Amino acid sequence: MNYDVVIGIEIHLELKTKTKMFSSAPTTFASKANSAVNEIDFAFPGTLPSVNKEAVKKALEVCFAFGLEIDKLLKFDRKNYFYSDLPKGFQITQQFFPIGRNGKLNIKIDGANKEIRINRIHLEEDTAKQFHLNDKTYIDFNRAGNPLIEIVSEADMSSGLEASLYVEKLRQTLLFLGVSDCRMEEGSMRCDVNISLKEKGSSTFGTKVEIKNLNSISNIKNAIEYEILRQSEILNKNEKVTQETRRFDEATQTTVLMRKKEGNVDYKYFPEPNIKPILLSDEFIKNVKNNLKELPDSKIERYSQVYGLNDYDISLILSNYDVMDYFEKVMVFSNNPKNISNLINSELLGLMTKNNIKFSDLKISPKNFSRLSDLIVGQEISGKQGKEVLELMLSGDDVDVIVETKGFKQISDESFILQAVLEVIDEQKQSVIDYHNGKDRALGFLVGQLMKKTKGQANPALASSILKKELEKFK
Amino acid sequence: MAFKNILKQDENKRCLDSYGKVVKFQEKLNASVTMIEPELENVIRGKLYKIPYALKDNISTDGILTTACSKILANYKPVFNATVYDKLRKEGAVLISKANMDELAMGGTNLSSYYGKCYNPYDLKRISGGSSGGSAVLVSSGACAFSIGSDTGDSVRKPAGYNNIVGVKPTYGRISRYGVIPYASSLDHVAYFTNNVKDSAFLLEILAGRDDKDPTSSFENVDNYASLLSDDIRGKKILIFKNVIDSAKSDVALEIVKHFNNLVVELKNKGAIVEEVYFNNDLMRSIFPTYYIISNCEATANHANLDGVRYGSQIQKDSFEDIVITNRTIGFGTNVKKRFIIGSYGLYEENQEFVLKKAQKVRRLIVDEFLNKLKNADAIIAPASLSVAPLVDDKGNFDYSDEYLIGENHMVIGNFAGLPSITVPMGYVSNLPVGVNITTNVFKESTMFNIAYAIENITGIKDVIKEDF
Amino acid sequence: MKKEINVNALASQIMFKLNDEQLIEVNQEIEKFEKYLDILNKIDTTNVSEMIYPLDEYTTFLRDDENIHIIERDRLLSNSENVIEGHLVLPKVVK
Repeated sequence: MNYDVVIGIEIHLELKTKTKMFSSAPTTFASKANSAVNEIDFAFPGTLPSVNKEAVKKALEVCFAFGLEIDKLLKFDRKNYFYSDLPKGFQITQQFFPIGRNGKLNIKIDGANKEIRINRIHLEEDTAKQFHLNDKTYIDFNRAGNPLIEIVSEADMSSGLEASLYVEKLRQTLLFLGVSDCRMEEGSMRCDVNISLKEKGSSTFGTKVEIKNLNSISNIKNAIEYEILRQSEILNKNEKVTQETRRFDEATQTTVLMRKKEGNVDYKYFPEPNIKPILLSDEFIKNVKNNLKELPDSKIERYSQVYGLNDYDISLILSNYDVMDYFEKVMVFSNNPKNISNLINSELLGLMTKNNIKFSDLKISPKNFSRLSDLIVGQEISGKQGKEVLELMLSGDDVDVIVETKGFKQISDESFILQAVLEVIDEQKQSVIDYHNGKDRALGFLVGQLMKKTKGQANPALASSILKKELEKFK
Repeated sequence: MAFKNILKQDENKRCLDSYGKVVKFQEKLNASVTMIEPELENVIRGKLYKIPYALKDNISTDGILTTACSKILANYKPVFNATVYDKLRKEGAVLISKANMDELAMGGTNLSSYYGKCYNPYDLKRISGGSSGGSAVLVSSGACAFSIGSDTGDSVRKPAGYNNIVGVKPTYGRISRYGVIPYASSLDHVAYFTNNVKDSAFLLEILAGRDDKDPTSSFENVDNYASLLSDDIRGKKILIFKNVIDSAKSDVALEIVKHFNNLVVELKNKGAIVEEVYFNNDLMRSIFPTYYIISNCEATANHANLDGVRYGSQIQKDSFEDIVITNRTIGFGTNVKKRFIIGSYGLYEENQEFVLKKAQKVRRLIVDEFLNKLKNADAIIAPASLSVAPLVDDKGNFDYSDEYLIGENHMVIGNFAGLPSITVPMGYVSNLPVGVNITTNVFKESTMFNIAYAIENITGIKDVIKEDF
Repeated sequence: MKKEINVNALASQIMFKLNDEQLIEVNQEIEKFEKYLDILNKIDTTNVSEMIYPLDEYTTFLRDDENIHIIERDRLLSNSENVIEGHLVLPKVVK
């Protein structure tokens, strides 16, 4: 039997701020346990929450990027439950009045655009981090209180591919906004998928299964594809899918039961009495909107229209935030987008992979990189030499110094080249004869001899044209 | 000059004397939870230099036990200071005692403290009142020059009346709540006791002000309340809370009303314009039910951090659930459990509409009704209570009569609306003190102090120390 | 619309137990509570919005994302009885 697949996605995104959502402890990642905590995060009695302006700003940026309607009156609520990673016994979130509602995002599937609606975005705080060893649980409160936004989609997706494209597009945009590291594997972007199957064309929805904590885009796709198969098989046997939470097991590429859902938990949500509603001024909102970073779609258009790059090059540059960021920084100094794009995509990235270098460690300044491109485009060094120079530049040395020490600078002095040409002709008489007898290889040989004589520094185009001209004289 | 009586004394002796009294009175009054021998070196020469005082034990003091009189916090030493404590330290005030209170401030009697009942120096068989009972008693017995409490319903203003002292609860947000272990966040106020109105006006200048750590604290300017203090109330429009007066039925209540009526005559003589005001009585009967629901709903969530995991009672068990259940079962008294259960019931999604939200709607109606009349006047006054301090063994005067629901609970409106409100001594009924309460519009603390000052001058009751008990 | 209130279930949801004596007291308290609800139900609250904050106003204050404040780890954990290598430790928690 055939089924319609209904998929919705909830994403928890850790915002890149200096301090926590409601306290001024730092959001430092991976510093030693319980070293980035203050009395508020530890829920000592009598402490009070204070809303982080930067977190609100970043949440607004995300709202604007996806066209959500903003609630200018910021309100928070308590979600009450007892758990060892939740020091206050409640989480402060925005249950009743999320900061943004009703947005959308377009994905491209089979060459066509599909709109995925975003139901809401709300601000909340993270829990403490726990790890389990033998018979004990170790709790580190460094993460407790970190600012999060939750991005809740409508159930508009119908395949693993669509879901993965949605998350990919979301992630790219969030990275370009600079609001989060979006590291799925490290948990700064956490993805939960809700999936249900219903009879084709039916208006009755099937039972929803939640797959929690998918930590890569490919896992999202694979988990959904497996889950569609699993649920189809159940339905084909005329059995019922049970409402439950599952996780994706990477080793077996299957989803595994975590727990059954027994009715809805009552979190006893109520308005947080310690945070009065906060009116966001028009000026604050306008300021955020006007200073929004350029979004991916706009970059694609600009790279194509202004820089004249082709779709393939553009997709390569935009596939990674760091690549895009480096490209744009180099372009501040360069007038050769095409060459810069080629140099990055076909030379730099390979070199970095080979030498295991990350962009954060890259020692080639954008200005130096641009200069290298200029030297190649201006034919002052050859493309081949350019590659060699680039590799040497990884150590952080100045491009001109490298070219100089290596003696790579091409010689374009015509009288110098002419002198060398005459010497070669004089020394290689047989080849000159062969050339005039139509043996094509002879010219290559003569050029080779010429480059040897000039230690490879002669401008090849110039050298070849002078050689040909002189050879005519010996006809 | 404020704190005249204490400042007359030798600066070190007054602190040591205070400590001596705190210790000496402990057996009879049980007013302290922690007694702190004063450290008199390196005291900052501020506006309260070497003035001995007490803090209610729900106010966080770095390195000093802060139990909120709950077993679950019996061994808890904060690692940070409440803003009020910081402010007082910076002015050189010397902390002598962490004072007894109802467990987690949930009560009006100081009978529910894990550390035992607190007694009234005017009659040791009677309650101090609560929840800030220890703080009240330490001032009325002359052990401390002033004390800090907290007021969620009337927890400072009620015991002030029972103890013949001044109890002040300013506007919500006037004093930072940071570091004060809560009862109910939307009703909690830092409040305090003094022996006279002048001291209380002066003290507010120090305690008040914006604190970014409490974002509900106010940016409103802090006035020079003490230097503005005047008992000239000519032309001041003062309302009489008629529902309270009319609810008096018992002999004691009627006796208290008599005192009140005499006072009203004197206020008129001093040139005040006095008018009776009668509010919708069904709304006034709803004050306590509304308070009871809102405060307990907020409290049950506020105290979910007391879980036996990070601080306080940490009895070990084999699972997280067992740890939490064991510590909370042993750690909370019956009174607290009762209130948590009601509060939690009111928070369930299926109940909120007819419990918490209903109460929050009635809160609005009560506040609107009250402010509608108060906004055209300077103040509203009523007896702080229609009873004298009850006997410790009394089952309490609780019932559903107006005398209880309105007479004993009207001051809660000050918490609903966040209004400045003060109780000052009014007289004696069978040798027991009774108080009068004055409530003014938001941020009109100056008006509140002035009317209180006028009343103090009328009654002549100030700086009364009850040391012989 | 009176509902049966299961006191023990309520208590266990907020993580404590009641002894017999307490159970009696809580049940008495619930009787009071129901009377209070009756009193409130006399009040018509149609079209009235909830009053959640005492002064019923809003603020514009947002905390600047700076001025880092930490409590040093030893102090932070000074009230905690179960600490191993700077971690708070519990018997293994299974969700």
